[in-house]
Amino acid sequence: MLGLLEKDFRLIMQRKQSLFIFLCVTIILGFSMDGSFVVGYMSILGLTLAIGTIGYDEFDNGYPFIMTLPITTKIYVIEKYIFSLISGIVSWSVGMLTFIIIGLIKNNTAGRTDLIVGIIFIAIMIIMMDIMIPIELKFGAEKSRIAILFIMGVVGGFVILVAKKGIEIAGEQIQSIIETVRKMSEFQIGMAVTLIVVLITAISIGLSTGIMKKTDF
Amino acid sequence: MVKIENLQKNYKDFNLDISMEISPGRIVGIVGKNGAGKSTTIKSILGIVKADAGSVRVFDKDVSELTVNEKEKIGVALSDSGFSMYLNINDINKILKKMYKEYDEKFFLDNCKKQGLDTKKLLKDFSTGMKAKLRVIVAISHKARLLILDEPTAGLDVEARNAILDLIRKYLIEDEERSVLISSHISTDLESLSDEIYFIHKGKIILHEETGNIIDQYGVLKVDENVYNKLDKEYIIKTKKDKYGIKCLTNQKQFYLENYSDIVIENGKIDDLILMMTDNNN
Repeated sequence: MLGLLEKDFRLIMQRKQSLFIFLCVTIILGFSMDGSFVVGYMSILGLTLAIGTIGYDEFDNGYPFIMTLPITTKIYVIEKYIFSLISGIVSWSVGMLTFIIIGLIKNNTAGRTDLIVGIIFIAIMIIMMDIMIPIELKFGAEKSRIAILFIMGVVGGFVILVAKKGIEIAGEQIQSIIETVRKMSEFQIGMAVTLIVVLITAISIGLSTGIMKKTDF
Repeated sequence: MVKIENLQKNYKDFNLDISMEISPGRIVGIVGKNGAGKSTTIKSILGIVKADAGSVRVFDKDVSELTVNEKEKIGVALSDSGFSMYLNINDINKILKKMYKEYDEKFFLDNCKKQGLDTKKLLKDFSTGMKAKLRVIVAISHKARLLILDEPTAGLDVEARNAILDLIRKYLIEDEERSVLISSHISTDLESLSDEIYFIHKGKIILHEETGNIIDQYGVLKVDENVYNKLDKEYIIKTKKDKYGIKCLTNQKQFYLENYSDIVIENGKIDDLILMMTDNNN
């Protein structure tokens, strides 16, 4: 596991110049955009860079050799999640820091709401990771872009359909769920979101491991 | 150390069906034409290609059940796959250090230096020979008990090939219990290195023989039709007609040397065996 983390870290560091440019863009965005946009931007950027290491592994037929290293497919998969999470959270922290520092410079002190929004970005980032990793492993770096667009389209369509039809069919139940959520304390909401995110991540890891176990390299 | 029993792997236009064994301290060669099934066999032993039927046992365990610690005892060099081209030797050194408990950093860096490999240059800027040398150095840098080398000398000049073969020889001298499986279509490499050889053709083992026996006992008789008709064919394995006459492969060269003093008998070479055994004429 440590060897794989080292490999991915070194692969990401090959893009030092890009990382520097991204950092400059972050600072510019921090000054020019209002609110916590920079936090979301950085989180997704860190995540995308980390998941991009799957492309490096796949490129030039790298997988057969990687799978002969002292690892198992499960270790490989879990490492990708850990690495993506580390990279995402480090980037999120840079984003948050930029947001706070720029806030101080502009004399807009970051409030409690900004912190909550920041934490919500972590949940969104993890769910994105849970969607992107299995797709990247299944379809490879090139095809996964199309697959992600397709899946987002299907999910978007599904959500619109459920939102329309759901209110017609089960409007009262939905209303009561919303009411229940409103009555919950921040701690309770936090716990519920954590539970949902953990559950989605567990399902995603299971899917990714299944994909890798079935693959011949 | 490795035991393959009735391993089957079926593709649309190719079926592999083989059995073979690698004992401790043995150097086993696999030869065959391109597409014969050498790489699929090697990938099955490594567990990166799943068998449709049969069993592959490594260190007395099904290959799919090998633990991380057991996988550390296998050194691998594949012909068409390795570390990312966007890493350099310094990066690889750091990765291996965290990957293998018995990784010998000094051995790795010293050998890279001896072979003239620049530690700061990205792999994508290495020549074919440099990449091949690095792949073998990686495989032998963590005290593996089993070395699996797929075409380690393919596409290299004589000097680079000899350098790689020397690395492998030195590694084997250090510990006589170490085993090697090496595939190649360069027969002279295997003649000088391996103890025994498996010939694979169209996914099947068509011959398994000690390398010494191939060189000492096998030969190719070159005769015309008249001599062929009078020839005792008891020890002829294969015959092949060409415009110059008939070639006969024997595994008892001495018999024909003693009884037919006037016919031309060439010494057994792996290349001759491949050509004769895989030819359709009989």
